[in-house]
Amino acid sequence: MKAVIITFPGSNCDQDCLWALREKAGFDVALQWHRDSSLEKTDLVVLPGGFSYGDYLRTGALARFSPLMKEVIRFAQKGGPVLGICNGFQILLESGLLPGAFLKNTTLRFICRNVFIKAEHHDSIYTSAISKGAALDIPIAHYEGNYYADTATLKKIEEEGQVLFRYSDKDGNVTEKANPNGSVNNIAGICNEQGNVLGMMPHPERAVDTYLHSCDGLALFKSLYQSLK
Amino acid sequence: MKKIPVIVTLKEEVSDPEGTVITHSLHSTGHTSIQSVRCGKYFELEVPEDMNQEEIEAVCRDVLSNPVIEEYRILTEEKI
Repeated sequence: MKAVIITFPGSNCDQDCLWALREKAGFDVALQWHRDSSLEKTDLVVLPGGFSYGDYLRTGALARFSPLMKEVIRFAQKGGPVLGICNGFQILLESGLLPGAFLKNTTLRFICRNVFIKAEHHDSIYTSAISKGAALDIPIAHYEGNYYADTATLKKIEEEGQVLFRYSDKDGNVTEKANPNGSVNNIAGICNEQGNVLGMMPHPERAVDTYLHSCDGLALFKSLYQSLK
Repeated sequence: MKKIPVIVTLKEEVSDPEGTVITHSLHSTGHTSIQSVRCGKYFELEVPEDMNQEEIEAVCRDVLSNPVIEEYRILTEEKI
């Protein structure tokens, strides 16, 4: 089982993803530079977190023009699994692989802390191994994670089951208080219609060992490993 | 060559927390007659005189702004 992680100038979670996927989830992992012209043969592509292109223009806006992104978009359109975490999620929105956009957090602060998220359903390659009803303890670290979509888009992604993760309290209740950044409907992660592309703001790769405070992120990588086998 | 000024702002229906905070600060410093503030970004494109308008619009629409949340305005161009 192979995963390719794309490194952009300013990515800073690529090594964390590599470690989580290789050491904790059992993937063979290759890092590819964003200027590479062809994507290695792979079962999974990961767009890691960070500050690609210094967040210039808009978060994720310039990374989408990287040569390798053309290949990633092609891979996704053919049904290949693509996971975008934090800045990776922002890149997926700017690339048009996922609907919506990000606004600044309503607090106007960079938020770096652990939050709880709840999987909406378990019929996805990303959530199949997550315990039903469990609230996952996973960190977020972002300034622009306030998910926005217009009313029609929101209705569609809700009805089609494209919302995979919502911010919740520790018991899994989706409340306004548990929403750290103002995201509409507490949305923390969405997938495309086909279900192969997931974007999420929380960092599962930072929650894969007890000394990282939580192991809850592992369930997502295990879901992927088992589903792609 | 000519210079094209472009302003990108959030769409009216999209909330602008930065503008709201600036409005509150203005009110707390006595500028209470200011009803609201909206923030945006300013760009200057230096382009050849004969660059076609369609291309300029495409750049504004597809790159300088994100049409999901933002709109752009092209201001009066300036000869340079």
